[in-house]
Amino acid sequence: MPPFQAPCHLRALPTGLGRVAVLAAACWLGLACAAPSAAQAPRRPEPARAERPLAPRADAPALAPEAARARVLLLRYLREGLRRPFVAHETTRLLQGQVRESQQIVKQAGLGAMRVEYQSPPAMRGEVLLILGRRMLRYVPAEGVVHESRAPETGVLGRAGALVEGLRSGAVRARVVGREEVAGRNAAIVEVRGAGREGFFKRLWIDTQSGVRMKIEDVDPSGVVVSTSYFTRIDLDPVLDAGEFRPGSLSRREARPRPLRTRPLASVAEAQQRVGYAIREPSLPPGYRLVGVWVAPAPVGRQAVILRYTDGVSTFTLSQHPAPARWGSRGADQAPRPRDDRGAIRWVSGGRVFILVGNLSPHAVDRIIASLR
Amino acid sequence: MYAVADADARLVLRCQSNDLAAFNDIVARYQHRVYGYVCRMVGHTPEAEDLTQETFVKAYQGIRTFQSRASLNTWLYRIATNLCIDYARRAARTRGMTESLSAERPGEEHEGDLELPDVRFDPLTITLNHELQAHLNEAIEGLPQRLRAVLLLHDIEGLAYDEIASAVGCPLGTVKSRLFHARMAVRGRLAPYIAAIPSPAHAGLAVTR
Amino acid sequence: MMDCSRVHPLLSGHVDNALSPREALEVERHLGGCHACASLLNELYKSVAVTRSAPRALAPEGFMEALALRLEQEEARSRQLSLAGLLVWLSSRRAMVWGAAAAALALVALTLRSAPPPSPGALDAPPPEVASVRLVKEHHVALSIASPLEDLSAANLSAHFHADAQ
Repeated sequence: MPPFQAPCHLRALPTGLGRVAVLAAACWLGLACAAPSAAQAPRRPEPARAERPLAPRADAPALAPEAARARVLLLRYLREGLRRPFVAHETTRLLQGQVRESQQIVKQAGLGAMRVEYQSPPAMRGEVLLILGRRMLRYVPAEGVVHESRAPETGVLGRAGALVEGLRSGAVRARVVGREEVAGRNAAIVEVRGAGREGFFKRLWIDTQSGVRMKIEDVDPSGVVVSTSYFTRIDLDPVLDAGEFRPGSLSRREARPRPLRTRPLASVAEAQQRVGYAIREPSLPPGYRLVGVWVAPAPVGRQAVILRYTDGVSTFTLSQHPAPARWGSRGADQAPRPRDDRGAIRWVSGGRVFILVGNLSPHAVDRIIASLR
Repeated sequence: MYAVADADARLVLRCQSNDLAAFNDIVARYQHRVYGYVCRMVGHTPEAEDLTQETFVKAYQGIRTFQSRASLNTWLYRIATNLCIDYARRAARTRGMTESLSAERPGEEHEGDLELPDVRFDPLTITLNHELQAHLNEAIEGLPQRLRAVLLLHDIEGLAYDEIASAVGCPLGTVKSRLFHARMAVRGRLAPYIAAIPSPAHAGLAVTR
Repeated sequence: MMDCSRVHPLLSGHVDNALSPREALEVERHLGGCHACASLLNELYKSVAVTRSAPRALAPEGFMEALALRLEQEEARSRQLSLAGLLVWLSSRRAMVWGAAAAALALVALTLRSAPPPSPGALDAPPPEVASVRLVKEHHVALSIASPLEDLSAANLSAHFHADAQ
């Protein structure tokens, strides 16, 4: 009995990724019950590998060195970077249309424990985001209210697992495209692309030593950066106040949960049964698939159906609800308005209000709108 | 105490002027209390969640005409009590018909739903072991609904006698006598353990309401 | 001195400190000379303390969301019901004049019901179109929590700027 037994889908990572990375992923994901020392476990005999159902096909192309290196870095980010305690000063810029900028202090206490304190712009000053596992509490000082949301799908472990799985299956492609110093740390630039060939992609600056993500960019298909967040200063392993990572640390008058069901529904058909109107599904850009269906009360009219799609890297969210009858002429078709900072587009078609949020090329947006007529 | 009542009254006024976000706040404030109460009235079943929802649906429908003579708190408990008693009556009838068909699962509990003990009466913190807890549950479950409601509303939900009278719709004297009988029944059930429980400081228990 | 059968019902009130001064005095006097009642009182204290420290169940996760859906369904149903009731009533009437008058009234009532007068605070609130865009953006942010490839800061910054989506 070998001392370390990785789950078979992790064992079946392409050989190019290397044993270390496989072990690292399995350890990090905590799926195996092995202690961290498993990384030093003796090599297991190889021959059984070819018979496993999930073993890579013999004709799978060998990974280029920059791709193998990118995987190791991503795994370090998932395994170590998401756990490493730090305090960092971060700047965020939205570069589509009018440039928007915010500055915030980001504190990470461990896996799934993050606190973001906004310093600017003035409208956001004093706002605090507290992420505790799947929960996100957003304290808005102007309203004196804490809005609570939950990641409805899976927690960070599940998301990381999906990313590892995407890398393994080839749906997600990553490669190292350069090196750069960010806030005094040496970072490798990893470009990550999803299954959508013409889609947006991301660049992550990963500290080669700590695995912490120092910077991230969303890039449109033509190579134009649409948004970025980067650290201007970072202290690793600081002394953090555990009290700041408790929900009670947010001064508030009241809590207001957001009305989104915590679990996605099983299918579009189930959502249809709930809302009682025919849900329209868009024709998807290549490489995209549906990841979840939710039903949520809309501010006006009947409940909205929310569909979430991903290509493994980028995501978009499509909401629809019938235009209330009392709108009269306002319920008539309305052309989509120009997208705002982050691709939020609203239009009315056939008595249905659609809202689309996410990074999609104009071409993909046009196709989606046309398919929903 | 008065601050709570004031905040409630403000929420009710906001609801009555069609500000339905205020109703959201009422639910946020009372969901655990109502659910906990309903669970003790009908047991930890899926119906408990339904009945809790039903309570708030009725409150939503009635809030525009709600007169703040009673407190919001008492009103919600009244709705919940009536729903639970109706439900228990219906369930008893159905049980009579289906008992032979479905196996009973007595005492099934979802322990995951249980939280830490309420520490409102901290001075005499009593650590309940599982056995004692189970006997208490059985004692409460064994009470007729009307006695049970009064006991829960007083000793667990913390309502005053007159609030209970309004919540269950009976005279004050009836509240007192039901509470006495319910407590005597619980004491009887816990008798084997009572000697082992340290004597509480009476002053700590006697909460002035 | 009161006899035990009269004292017993008062013991529960004694536990709650809810006796009148006169009752309290009589009970105290009785307890001084009656060991059985004093012992019963002590047991009641203990058993009430146990009851009060019983654990409490919390409403299940997602309760508010489920309730919000149910309220919407109830609203829709009650609208349909009032319309259906009106139709049944109309069909049972011979005098169509009354029917027409009632229909007009009901229509007015329905219109009023489906478009409540704005609350004082609603004037400051964004129009519903903007509110719905904002809500979907917030859902989008929520769906991005815990995703290692998402730029949550950018998503949150974007959710703040919704005016241009009007």
